[in-house]
Amino acid sequence: MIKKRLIEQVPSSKKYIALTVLLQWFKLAANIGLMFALSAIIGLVIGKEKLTAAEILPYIGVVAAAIAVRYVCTFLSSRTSFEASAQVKKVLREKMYRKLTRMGASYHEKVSTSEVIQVFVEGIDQLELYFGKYLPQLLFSLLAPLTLFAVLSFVNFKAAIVLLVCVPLIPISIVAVQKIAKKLLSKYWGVYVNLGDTFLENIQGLTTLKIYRADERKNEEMNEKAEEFRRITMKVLTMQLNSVSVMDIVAYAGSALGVIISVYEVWRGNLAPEKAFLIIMLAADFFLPLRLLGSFFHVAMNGMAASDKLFNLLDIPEEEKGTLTDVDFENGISLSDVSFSYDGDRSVISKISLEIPKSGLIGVVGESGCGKSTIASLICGTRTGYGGSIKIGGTELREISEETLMKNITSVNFNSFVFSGTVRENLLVSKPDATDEEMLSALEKVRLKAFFLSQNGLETELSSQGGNLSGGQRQRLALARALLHDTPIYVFDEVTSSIDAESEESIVNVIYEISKTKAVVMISHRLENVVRAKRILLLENGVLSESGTHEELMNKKGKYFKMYSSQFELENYGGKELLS
Amino acid sequence: MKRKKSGFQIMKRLIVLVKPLSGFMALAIFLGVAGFLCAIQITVSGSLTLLSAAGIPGGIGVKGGCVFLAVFAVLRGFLHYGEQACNHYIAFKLLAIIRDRVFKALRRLSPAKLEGKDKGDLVSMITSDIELLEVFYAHTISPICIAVLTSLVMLVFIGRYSTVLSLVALLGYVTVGVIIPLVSSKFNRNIGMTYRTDAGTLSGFVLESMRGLLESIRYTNTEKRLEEMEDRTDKLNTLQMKLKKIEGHSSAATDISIIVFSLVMLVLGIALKNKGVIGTDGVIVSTVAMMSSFGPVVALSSLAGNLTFTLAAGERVLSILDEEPVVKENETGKEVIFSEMECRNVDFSYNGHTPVLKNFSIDAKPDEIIGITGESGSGKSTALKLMMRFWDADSGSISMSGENIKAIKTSSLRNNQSLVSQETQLFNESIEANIKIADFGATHEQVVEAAKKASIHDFIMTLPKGYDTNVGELGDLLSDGEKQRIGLARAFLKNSGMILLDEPTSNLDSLNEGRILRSLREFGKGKSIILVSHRKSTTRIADRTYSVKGGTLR
Repeated sequence: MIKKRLIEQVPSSKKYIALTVLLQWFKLAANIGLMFALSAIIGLVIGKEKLTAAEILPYIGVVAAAIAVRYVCTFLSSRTSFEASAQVKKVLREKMYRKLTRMGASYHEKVSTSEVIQVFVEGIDQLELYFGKYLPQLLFSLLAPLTLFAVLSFVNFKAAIVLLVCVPLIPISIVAVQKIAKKLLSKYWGVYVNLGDTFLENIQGLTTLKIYRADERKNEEMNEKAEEFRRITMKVLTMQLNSVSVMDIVAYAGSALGVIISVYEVWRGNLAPEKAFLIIMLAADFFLPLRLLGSFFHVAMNGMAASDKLFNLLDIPEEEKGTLTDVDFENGISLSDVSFSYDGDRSVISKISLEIPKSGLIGVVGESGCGKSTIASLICGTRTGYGGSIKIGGTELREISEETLMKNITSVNFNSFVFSGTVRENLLVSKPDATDEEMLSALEKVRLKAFFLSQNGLETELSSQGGNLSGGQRQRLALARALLHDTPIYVFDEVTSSIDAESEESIVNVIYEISKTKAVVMISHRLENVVRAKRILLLENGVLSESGTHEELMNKKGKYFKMYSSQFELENYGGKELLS
Repeated sequence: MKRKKSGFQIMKRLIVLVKPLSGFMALAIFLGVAGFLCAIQITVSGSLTLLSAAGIPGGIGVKGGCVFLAVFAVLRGFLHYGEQACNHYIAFKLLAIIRDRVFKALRRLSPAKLEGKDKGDLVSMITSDIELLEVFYAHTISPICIAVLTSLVMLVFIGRYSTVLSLVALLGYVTVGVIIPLVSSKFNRNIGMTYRTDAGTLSGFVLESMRGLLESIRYTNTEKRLEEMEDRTDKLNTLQMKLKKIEGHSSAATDISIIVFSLVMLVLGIALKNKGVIGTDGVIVSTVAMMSSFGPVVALSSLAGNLTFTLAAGERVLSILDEEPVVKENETGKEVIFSEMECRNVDFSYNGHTPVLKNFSIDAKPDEIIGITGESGSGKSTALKLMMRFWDADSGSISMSGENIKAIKTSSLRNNQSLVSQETQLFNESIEANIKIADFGATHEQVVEAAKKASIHDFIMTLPKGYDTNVGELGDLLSDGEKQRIGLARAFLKNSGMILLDEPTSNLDSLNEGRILRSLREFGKGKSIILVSHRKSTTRIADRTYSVKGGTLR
């Protein structure tokens, strides 16, 4: 229930956890003092017909002191419990983010992105609660019964020992719950999120559903899903509730037993009534901290699960990374006998040899699944572990430091990420010191300038993941960002797949313009885009099957010729405005 | 004054909204009250038994008292079980009921409601409002009822000894359950609001940092990203600190109020005993009752801050339920089979004064493709939507097979039309189910045939699970071109007389565009196809082309 390694991660929180527990303990002490004072007053009430103010005044002084202590402690403990968790988010996220950065651009080969995201966002939020609420409460719930026992054993040993013995029954029932609920709880959250998503999706697609008159069916489906989910989780909860009520029965029956024994002792004449009153008022305090802990136990379970995942990630061994920084990027890239396989078994590409000159456009084409994107990701370093050799300026790619590689090679693919924030912020990512003129001219080149100027210019706000842009606009913005990066080598992977024909042509022209002075690799399933390339490589099943200029390949009348002809026919379907 | 009244009205209507659950809610409240009373009785009947044991009058007898004490202590566990079971049942049902009501209302209001400009805002508002409403039902109504009822029982109990003492208890409950929460919510309302927004933005930022990690690595931007994430976390922490300070004061105030009121009860009890109004038992029992009965009102302390937001959310949801649809569906009109469609001198504006379409006339017949071109904002998409009766024309007439579409049964009109829009909305289920949206009763063979016509069949067959592949699992792997072709497959599956396409190719490269156009030309034979597009390359396959500018045909 306590994970030492986890606590070691955020050493600053230890002090505050201890302080929180200490303050709660002071509160308990003040409460005991308070009850002693009240029981003394009640003793007087029982003993005398009439009481004067002077008689009870000293006790009221004690009560006042207890009130002061409790006020200060309650106030301070809300502060310390916050401090205990304040750094957790920051520290753990930083560790995780740095780890992934160190693992580098190929991190997604080793971890599932969705799991990483889940731990990074929700998991760490849950760990915050683990530090701020659960840990202090755990320690206090051990301390409180022992303290009360120590005090009450002087008042009446029998009652005190009965109360103390009942306490451990609570954690036993919690542990029992935990064993059953641990597996079931994680499932439950998965479905819960799904129901919300289904609702959202149905609203978003409501026009479609209406047109096809499927709205009623979807409505019923949604209700059925909700009902099914309820039935399943209620079964799970019944088990959990069983244990919760066991816990409650132990806590309240335990207090009642303590009360009954103290009453019995009074009846036997072994205990003064006002002392019995003291036990009655303090009996519940034996159990309260543990009951509260019970209500945090899902926090503890989620926290444990998240920390396991976190450590799994942090423990992934890091491969030896390249360190060379003095590399000549100005003279192209040369691949010889490059192979790659995801599973070590079936190769995605094999024995590819290729010279990428320092300037000019190299087109890589082929049907989907032929391995053309794999070549792109190997060249720009987002995939590692290739066989053969990839040399940049005579240096082997795997020996070059990742930072140097990223600073000299720009790669853009069809689903490049757009951050929320302004257009300006998105563009500054690639060139922090870009001027407004530079940014606007980059936007102009990708035909986005007019669109953004009609909005709010560079200050146009983009919603999360560029949600308020169309697929084509996102691609174009990513391209503008890449243009600003200004590196000797560029890799474009299907960057115009969602861009309409008119814009596509002008963007492709921009890419050709770049290739006049820089090394450019362009991957495209649309052959028209690479017609003017210096060289075109056609991949089939991971193997280089044809290569040459457009004219050479057309004359060859092979696979390229066939693909090009059928695409040409398709694009000019209806044929009223034939392209050149 | 008026606002307060409307607050109550909102609450009243919200309660009526979940009428099917009222039985369970009442049961949960009853069990909650009984559970609290069982917990309170441990100290109270403990004291009453103690009185008998010590030979002080007013007790309930030692033996009977002990039995009573034990039985109700154990009962508390079962009551708690029942309450929790009810609460969970209610929570699950609630969300389902509210979502169902809202969805039904939106079905009634759409397509007009959801085709407006701020669709995104509307959708996100509805989803977050519904979550807030769950808080209202599950964690606001029932604690308030439980606190009020339990406190009433305790007031009567103490009142049996003395009315004055009962008044002290009332003052105590009101202080802890109403005054302190209201005062502290007044202090933290603004900070709380900012905190919530900022926390939302931060988790969005955190999420994007992870999703966009590769992009940050590519542009060696990770350090800057991390720095900003930490800055934002620090900023939020500062805010949270302020919030915690107010919270600290208010929980400390609650804590000492309990002690102070208990002490007042004791001292006042002693004074009353001195006057001979009550006996020793009255002093002890009412003090003990006071001390141990604050539980239900303490539970209210966190509610006041949220009430304003939940009520505002409730008001918005209610207004959606009340809203009258712009176009009332025709449920009793004529049924038609498409033979031709005609728009005659149509005028239309969204807001009543800025005309979108002026004197617009167009006709469509089977076995022809009609192109409508024009720049964005020219009104060409609006014309298409009017033909599907998303809105009604202000003047002029739109008719199908010689019948004004207002007079046609809406379901019959829909049966004759299919729509492919700019972006195809996919649902998180199999590809087959996604195509079957258009015709639930279709066989697998029919789905395959439609997919073949839309030239998406070959792509689907390259997927490991073929037609059973879940769309959600594919995520980014599905390109815009493939999505649009799934949309087209829907239209082919439905096999209606008309296929209306609204900018179907605006996010596609010319290769995908070509695929869609070829499918339309080759498999759209016999159908009336209306193709709205700003692209000449798309409308080139049309048999006739209309050009729209400023809402009129040129």
